[in-house]
Amino acid sequence: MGKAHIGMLTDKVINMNKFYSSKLAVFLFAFPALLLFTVFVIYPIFPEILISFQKNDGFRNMGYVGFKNYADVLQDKTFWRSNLNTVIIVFLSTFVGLPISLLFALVMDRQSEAMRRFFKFSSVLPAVLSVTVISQMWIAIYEPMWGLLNSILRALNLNNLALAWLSDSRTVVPSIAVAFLWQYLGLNALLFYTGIKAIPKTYYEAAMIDGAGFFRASLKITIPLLQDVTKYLLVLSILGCMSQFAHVRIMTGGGPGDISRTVVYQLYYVAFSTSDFGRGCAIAIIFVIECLLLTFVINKFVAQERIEF
Amino acid sequence: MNNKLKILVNTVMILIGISFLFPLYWMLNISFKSKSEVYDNPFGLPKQWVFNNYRDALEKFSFLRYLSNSIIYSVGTIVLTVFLGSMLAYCISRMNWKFKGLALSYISMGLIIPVQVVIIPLLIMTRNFGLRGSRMSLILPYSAFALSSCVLMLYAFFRSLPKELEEAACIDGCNVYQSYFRIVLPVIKPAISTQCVLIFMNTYNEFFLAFILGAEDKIRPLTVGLLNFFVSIGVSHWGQIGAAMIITSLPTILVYAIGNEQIENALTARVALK
Amino acid sequence: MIRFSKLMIVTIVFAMVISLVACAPVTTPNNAPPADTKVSTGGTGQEQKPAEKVKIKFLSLSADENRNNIRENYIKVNVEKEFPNVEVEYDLGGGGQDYANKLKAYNASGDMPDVWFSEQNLSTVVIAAGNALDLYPYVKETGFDQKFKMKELVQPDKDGKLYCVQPGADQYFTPRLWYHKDIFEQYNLEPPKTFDELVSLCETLKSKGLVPMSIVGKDGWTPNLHMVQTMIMAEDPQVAIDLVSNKTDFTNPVVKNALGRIQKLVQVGAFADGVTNIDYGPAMEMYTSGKAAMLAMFTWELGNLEKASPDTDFVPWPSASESVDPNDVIQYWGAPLSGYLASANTKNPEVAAKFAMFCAIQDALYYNIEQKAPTMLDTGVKIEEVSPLLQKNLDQFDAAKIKVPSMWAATFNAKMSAEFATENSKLLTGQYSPDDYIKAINPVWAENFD
Repeated sequence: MGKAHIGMLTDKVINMNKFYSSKLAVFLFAFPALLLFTVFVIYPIFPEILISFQKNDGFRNMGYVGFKNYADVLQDKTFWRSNLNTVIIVFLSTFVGLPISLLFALVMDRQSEAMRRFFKFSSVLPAVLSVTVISQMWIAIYEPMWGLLNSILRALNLNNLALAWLSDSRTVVPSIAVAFLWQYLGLNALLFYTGIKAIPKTYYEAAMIDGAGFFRASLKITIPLLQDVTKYLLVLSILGCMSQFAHVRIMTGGGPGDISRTVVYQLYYVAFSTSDFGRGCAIAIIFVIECLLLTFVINKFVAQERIEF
Repeated sequence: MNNKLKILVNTVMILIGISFLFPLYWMLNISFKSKSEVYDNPFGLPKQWVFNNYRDALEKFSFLRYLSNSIIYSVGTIVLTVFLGSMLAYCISRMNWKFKGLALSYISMGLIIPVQVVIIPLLIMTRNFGLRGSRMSLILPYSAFALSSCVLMLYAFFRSLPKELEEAACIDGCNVYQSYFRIVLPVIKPAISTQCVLIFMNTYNEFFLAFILGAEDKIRPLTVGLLNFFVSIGVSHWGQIGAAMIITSLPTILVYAIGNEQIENALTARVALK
Repeated sequence: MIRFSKLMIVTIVFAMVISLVACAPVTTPNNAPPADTKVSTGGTGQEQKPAEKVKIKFLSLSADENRNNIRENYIKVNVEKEFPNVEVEYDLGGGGQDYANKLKAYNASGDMPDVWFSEQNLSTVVIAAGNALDLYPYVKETGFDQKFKMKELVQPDKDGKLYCVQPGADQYFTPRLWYHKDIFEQYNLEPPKTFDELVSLCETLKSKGLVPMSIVGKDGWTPNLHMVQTMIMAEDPQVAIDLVSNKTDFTNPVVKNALGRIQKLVQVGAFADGVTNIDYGPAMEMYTSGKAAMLAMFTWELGNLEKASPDTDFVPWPSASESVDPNDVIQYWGAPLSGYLASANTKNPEVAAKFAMFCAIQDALYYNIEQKAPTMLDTGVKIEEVSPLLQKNLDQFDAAKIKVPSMWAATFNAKMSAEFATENSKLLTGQYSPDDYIKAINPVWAENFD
């Protein structure tokens, strides 16, 4: 390595540092976005914290009550039930939905080009359509008397299994979770697929020589190399499911009774339906804390060395 | 044995793949059915094709006005979010400043704050800023909420870009602004178009904020304009609901069909660039 | 963790700066309106400049066909004649919870519409917050109160104020048990007079492969609006009256029996599978298409039912005790605060009040002309060509000796309504005991009249 080369390199580094360190540039690049975000997303949390210590019916403040709202929320069975439902939805979408997406992506990789094009287009369609459309469709599928699911079950002579899916306390939450995970199944699969496509073919060639089949090749090569994508999807899927609201709202309205409420739905119900804003805001704050903790945990356990290839 | 398993897996996957097209079939199907047929024959092909549903659905609301509002919101949100978001993402990934890690965590907090929680302060603010009744009253919050995922994704992109790009520009005597707008932005075009498509889908389909903040008829987007169809009391004409769903979904399907390739290219590019 | 605390500090500083900017003016609008009001009322009162239009913001339900018809075909059509100088901006509020939430969000931000329609439980909260305009002076001044057959509807409250004007159509609405005469003839069945007959009738119909009774189960709608109260009245109307006037609570054994009767109906399969998820539209469709033999519904659907299935007839709700004659007791829907209200902060109180009264009249016209239904507000329209079914309904209504106001419409506050709906929805699963129900609802009821 010649001296001149080294000199040029340091020159460059110094230059680039100056280039990247201009205070004015940092301000101009970062401030507008941070301002917008703070004003419309973060700032509104503060009045919410204030209200969570009040007796407030959404129309007026009727005095401060200390931690009473928080105590009430934590003693409320429905609140814990809603937490459980949220966990069920998160669990099903993450640990059942994501593996299916992965499998789907692996199979997609082996299809002919025409099939692949078809899958690529179709798989994202549910995610593109509005939640209203998808939820209404699932209502029609789950309908106990003429719904698609029960019609199929009856045709297969499985009359015992033909339940009132969205009205039965045993099946309602998983049923909603299925609708939800199905909507994003294809999108996740496509994300996995793009990850697979980026893996150099040479890895497989080596495996082929060793005589590994589809499953072994996938297990030994593809999946380990997909860590990065997997982590990204895991975080997105968990956080996305945590604030699940729209599907529940449209499909069951939290019913029957309070059985299928998620945390955000419970928040909405308490704040708006029962006009108890103080308690609703307390739920909101608890929820935000839960999410922060969860993000913390995910980062702790999932964050690993990224694999370079 | 292995072969049989493979066939089974393939069949199941193809079935799932077809199921993704089912909503399209379902909407089209019921949109051509009469009021009572939807109940008697919900999933089979219409026995008697009814074309009036579309006309009737269109008659019940000013489709064009709501559509143009929806498009204004989507485009406005895309422009604002992508412009501000990409600058912040670039700033966090490239520039040297003390709080960049902090800024990234800060902006990602947006992913966990449900909009239901902050609706009332938002409403008060839009009024105090004098935005009430203007389209900005929706575009600004939409952009703010879209920023988080936009910044996170573009940040990952910028990180994977080789620094040589700007070095070359720097040597040519560009300042940081020029190099950003002339050199860097064009390179990440695929990522930006992906964001555009994603933001479009979200904004176009958004309901809750639009319902509360878009009170006046002239600024109402399609989702809220269509409310009458999706509420239960007195409305049971599924044929018309189906027609309305098709009409409102068309723009998203179109945008997706056009942006489809772009998204995939961007995603692939991103993974490949690492 | 250091990151988080730093984050919080930065956030707090940011928020403080912004709250100074954003929150400071919050108080000013609340103080400002009085000054504003004087100016603009002066302006409109004298009507010096007819060219300049007064703007009125009007919020109404848009999820209900009757409401939509009244707004689109009556209010919108006639407003130009009556108020040439007023420009009305129509805000569509959806229905149910959506509507309540929208109004609450407006109220919390001090941004109420000038005139709006609301049901009793929502009106009470707005009034308690001091956001409703006293309409009494305007009602007196215009002689609006002279148009009423039932003067209580336009009498001021205990505090001497009248916040709500209404067409008085609701007072005639009552829940009935509708049935298809054809189906009953086909299987040689008689409409039920007692609860036991109803149960065995349901069992028979179920065995024929029909849905015995169609109800709106989503959010417990039918039990909320009348079935719980109907079942109480079936055994002892006095308990229903005592509940409405807060003289008894849900621990009353009659209430428990009533809940038990609904549970019994669920258990014998009187309602469709998955009833807790059946909405209003599908419930109506289930009956009109003949899949269900009976329907639990209010008389506001009478016209529609007659049109959709001409073989429809009704019976009053069967009784559960020998001492109660089904023809004697009736529940009526109307509530004093269910109607049109105006905002206390409106810039043009006079225009707003007059517009509210105008809406009430249009409402009454709609019922008189299109539904051929009577209203307490006399519009001068003569109702002609009353169908036999409608006549039967009116005769039976007039002949009933005991008329109980609707518990749901007239007494429940927001929290009670919400929790009552939750409990009823659970009750409809058939796996929820009346004891658990009472244990959950009674503490809420205890706070209802606070």
